[in-house]
Amino acid sequence: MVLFLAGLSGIPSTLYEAAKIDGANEWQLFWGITIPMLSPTILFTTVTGTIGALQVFTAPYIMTKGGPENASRMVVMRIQEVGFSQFRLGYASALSVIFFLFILAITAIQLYLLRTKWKY
Amino acid sequence: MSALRQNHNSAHLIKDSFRHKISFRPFVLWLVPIMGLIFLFNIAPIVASFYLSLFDYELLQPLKFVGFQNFTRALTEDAIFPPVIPQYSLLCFLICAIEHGRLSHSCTVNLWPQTTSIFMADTVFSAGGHTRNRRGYHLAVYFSAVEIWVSKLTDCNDRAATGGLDRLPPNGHTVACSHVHLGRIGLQHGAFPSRA
Repeated sequence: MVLFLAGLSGIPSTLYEAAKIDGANEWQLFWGITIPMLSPTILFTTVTGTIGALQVFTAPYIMTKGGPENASRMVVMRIQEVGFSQFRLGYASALSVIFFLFILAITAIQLYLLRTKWKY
Repeated sequence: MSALRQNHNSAHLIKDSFRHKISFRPFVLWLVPIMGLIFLFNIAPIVASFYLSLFDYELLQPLKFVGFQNFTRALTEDAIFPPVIPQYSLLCFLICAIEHGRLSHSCTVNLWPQTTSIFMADTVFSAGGHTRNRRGYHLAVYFSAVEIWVSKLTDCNDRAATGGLDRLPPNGHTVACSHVHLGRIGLQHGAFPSRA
């Protein structure tokens, strides 16, 4: 929310004024100015939020330990279990590398889909 | 002769570029410790884990090189890992909407006067002058749209969690979604007037 507020305060009011003079309505202002100008903020929050969410560990580990029937077992929990309970560090490292590549691919896709083709 | 002159000119160019580099030296010196820390805590563990992943390493036993066998096992035989990856892929595209939906309830409830105590909504709507208020309104509209989408995705769970949407405010689905989210944080009872 703070990031969005910072992004909003960075949008020059002259853009809104110029668009209003051109006859734009509120909906056009929103889609034509607010969202495009907030697109870097949206990109940042999406990427950091996704990475943070994929690395969730503490809450499910404390509450359910991955149960019931592995329904709440996250990948990070699996890596921790293999590495520090079973002490199969090579296998845990392989899981970590695969997970790293997965996050890298997801981030690259998000950067591609949410890229901006213009500069202000 | 011309070749010599050309060499002389290129030597000048190299010298100039070197001088240009020298002028940036303090900046580079500031960067060195930061880059060192990044390498130590970010890049080195990645490289080390990739190196270790090529071995069968069980802490008290010596390293035994197995190549990419660990990767093959992880992607084919592991009980947890392969089934989770497609779910994570789907989840990644929902996370954005879900997070925005959670943010949006604070924007949306501000449209309902009885719940203006949510501080983030107040922040958005009192952010400044006339144009800024309008931008806050735009943000609220956007988040509301996202929230409606998310609530449709999670409708059944939300209904079960809140015991039904029997105390909906009169102005439609948008605030109903906020009602659902408020129910999650314990403000359900008395937050909105009943439909009747």
